[in-house]
Amino acid sequence: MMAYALFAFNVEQVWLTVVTATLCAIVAYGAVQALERLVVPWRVERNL
Amino acid sequence: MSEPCRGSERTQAIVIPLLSVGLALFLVELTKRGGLLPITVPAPSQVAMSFAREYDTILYHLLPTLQSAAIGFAVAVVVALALAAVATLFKPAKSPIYNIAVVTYSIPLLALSPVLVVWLGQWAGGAHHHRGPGRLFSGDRRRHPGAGCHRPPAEGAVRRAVGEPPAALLVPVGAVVAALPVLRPEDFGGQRRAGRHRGGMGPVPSAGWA
Repeated sequence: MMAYALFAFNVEQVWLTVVTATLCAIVAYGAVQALERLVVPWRVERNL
Repeated sequence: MSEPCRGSERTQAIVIPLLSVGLALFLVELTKRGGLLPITVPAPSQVAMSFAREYDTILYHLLPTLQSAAIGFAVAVVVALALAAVATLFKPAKSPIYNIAVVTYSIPLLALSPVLVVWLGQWAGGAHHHRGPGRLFSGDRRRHPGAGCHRPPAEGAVRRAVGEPPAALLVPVGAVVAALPVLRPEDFGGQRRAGRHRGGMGPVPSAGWA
């Protein structure tokens, strides 16, 4: 859909797909972090 | 005494980023309405209206895309953990695997993705996928309407080996998730400190000249 919007120069749709992909990535990062806390409890975060 | 402080910190950690994003979107909207942005940058309100207009199309494409991404992630996790296990159990393999991993990681994905599309083809979720871009990459759909996306031999072999998603994803991901709690920090070269691992990948492999 992003490629189609790019070739069609549909700017709003391009940005819409970008925003959607970003939201999916945020959710996926959160899911992996939750899974990590569950299955690797001995790994703690480090504050830089 | 410390609980209210923690609650306040958590609230700030949520509210401040949200306010920052809202302020940035507001500024972009004002800048766009002022005519200071090029036509390639739409106003946030235009993107929102586009979502209201095309949310069914977004949802239509979302599931096959997420399936393909999940398959890639599962394959990457299984391959990476297998290589890590080999490197840990067979010490002479540690340096070659580590070096290959570093070189592979340094390849820009932006340059690699078109090559992978040509090489492996379009990893489609099924015949229902890609009303739009699929037609750009699989020209044979016009000659065979309704036959679904063209699947290259490599994709067919992988799908025969692992089955169809999402059931196929449960096998490798479930195995990895089940195996992780069994592993100890010491398995990765880390040190147990007061029952907690300090994070990181353990000691860096020593260089040949060290």
